[in-house]
Amino acid sequence: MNFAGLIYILVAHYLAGKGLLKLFGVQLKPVPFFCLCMIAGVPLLSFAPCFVQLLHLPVDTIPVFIAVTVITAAFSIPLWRNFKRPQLPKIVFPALYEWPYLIVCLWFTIFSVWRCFYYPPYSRDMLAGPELLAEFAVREKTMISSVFTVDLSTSNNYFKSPFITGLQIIYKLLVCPFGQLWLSVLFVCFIVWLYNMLRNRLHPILASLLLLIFFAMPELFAYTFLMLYDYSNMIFFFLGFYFLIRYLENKKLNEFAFSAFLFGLATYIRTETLILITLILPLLLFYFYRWKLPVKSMAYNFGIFLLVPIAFYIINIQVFIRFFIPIPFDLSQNINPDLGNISAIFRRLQDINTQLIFTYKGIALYGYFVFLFCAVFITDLIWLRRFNLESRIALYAIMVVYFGLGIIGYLLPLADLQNTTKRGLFKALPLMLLYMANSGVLLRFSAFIKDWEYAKPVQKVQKRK
Amino acid sequence: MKYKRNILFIISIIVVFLLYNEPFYNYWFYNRILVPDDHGDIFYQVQHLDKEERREFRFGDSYIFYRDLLNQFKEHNVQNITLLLPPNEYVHKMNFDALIIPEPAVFYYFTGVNAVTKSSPDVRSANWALVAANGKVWMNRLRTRPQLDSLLALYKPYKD
Repeated sequence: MNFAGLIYILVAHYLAGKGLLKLFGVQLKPVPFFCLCMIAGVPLLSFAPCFVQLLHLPVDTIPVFIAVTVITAAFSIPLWRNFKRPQLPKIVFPALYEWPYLIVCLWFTIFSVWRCFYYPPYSRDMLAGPELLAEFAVREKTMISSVFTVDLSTSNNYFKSPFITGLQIIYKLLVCPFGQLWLSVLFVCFIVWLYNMLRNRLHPILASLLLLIFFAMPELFAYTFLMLYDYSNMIFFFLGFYFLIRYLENKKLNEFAFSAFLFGLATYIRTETLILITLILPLLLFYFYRWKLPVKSMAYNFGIFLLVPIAFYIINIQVFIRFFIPIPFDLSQNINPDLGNISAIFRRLQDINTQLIFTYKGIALYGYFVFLFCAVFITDLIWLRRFNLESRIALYAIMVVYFGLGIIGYLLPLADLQNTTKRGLFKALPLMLLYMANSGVLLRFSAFIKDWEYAKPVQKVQKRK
Repeated sequence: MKYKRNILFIISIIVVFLLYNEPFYNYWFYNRILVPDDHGDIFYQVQHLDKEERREFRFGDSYIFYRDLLNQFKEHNVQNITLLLPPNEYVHKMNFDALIIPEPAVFYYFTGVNAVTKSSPDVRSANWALVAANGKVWMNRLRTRPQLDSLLALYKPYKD
């Protein structure tokens, strides 16, 4: 393990991410801002090995190190322009009653990070795809390696995004032999970010309880140390929605553009995400119509929202596959030949309910989290019947994921229920958490605990009088 | 307020305790998280940081077997190998249940040796074969076309 390399790469993630956030003018509190910088910096650096290859340089430690430095420096330009002395944020330690939950969460985190570091990548999709490409790129110092002389007919994973391949090359060369630790960077920062989000809305005791139940989803937790695309994709898709909600609240165009960029990164990680993004358009149309936006501004906003993810899609399909994968790629072969039969959509939606969620297997996959969400939602629906903007859009986003996965299953026969759809459902899970953080029932309960906790005893108040 | 916070603290401990004792969470947490896996706990693993050892832990006996095959090729200075892998179903029928035959791409990741299966487009390029029969697994040099054809005919009914 090269600790100097790890520290360098972490600083590079932070600076690149911070530059990006400055570029978009995103403002957050210090801790979520730091986490978001780290998260945003991860996919930005993944392009470094591709640049090295495009320049016909050997994919080796020094060229990759220089490429990482150049990308970081380029994204840091907004930081140098408005340079301010960094100020350390005030660290607020969790209250005593949060510790029982947080200690368990910390144990989960240590377990996940250690496994990520200790074991080599394991999943078949990786060993026959990005990890194979990265391993031989490092050994042979070129991304167009001897791997392409092997029989690859049993897999199409090498056609997937360069996101993992690039990061694996960087981490293998600069940090540790099995790479993968970038997944822990994403995981830890996302969890801290989520906890801050929950704590801002709910009483800390409820926030930490929800976080613990979110952690205790066996399937989702497994992918915090099993390297695949879905956990990273979930993070960027969720953050895209989070900033979209902020835009719909405050109408700041920079947050709208940043949301589009995050959706673009989600598309860069998994290209099918583009289908889900198109399902967000009705929501935007509804709000633009409500705001009485001129048609020209509406078209401009739609353009921004769609063009960024499409650009990332083109980078994947037209640049990466064309320049780095010397095997013919025919997209049409992956599309369902029987598009007239739309019953496949409904079958997939039914299968999601009957085979993945509302079944014993559903508990084995996602614990009681989805059931808890359903219970909170039904209680809100029956009792309070009031939903704030965040909760409404979170519900819409969950529907986008649910119906989107049905459509993906119908369009792409390779997207099977037990793998693609099962892991695709991850995207709905933090959105469920966002809903619960805005649930009327939980907000009331949270306010009740706060009132009770901070209320002064009656006797003391009377004495003061 | 401190008193109330202590009450909340006790409630937190009770909730964590109840969650831990819920049968599903208890089973998962105890068997998957709390108890060390087959390769020891973190303290044991810290003492075993060798890259090859970690690969053995992760990929299991089949990986060790394939790595030994590679070492044999290296010892005998054999080059330009294209190895015909038997189908998994066939290998299991020969009572080698622990041996998992990976697809050629994964085999290449493990060993750096080119491999093909009976359904590979370039199966005819195979010049070595991994043969399993009579309780043994061995490497066979394929010198003639009939040798390859007989193996392909043997593997035909079995699934990869």
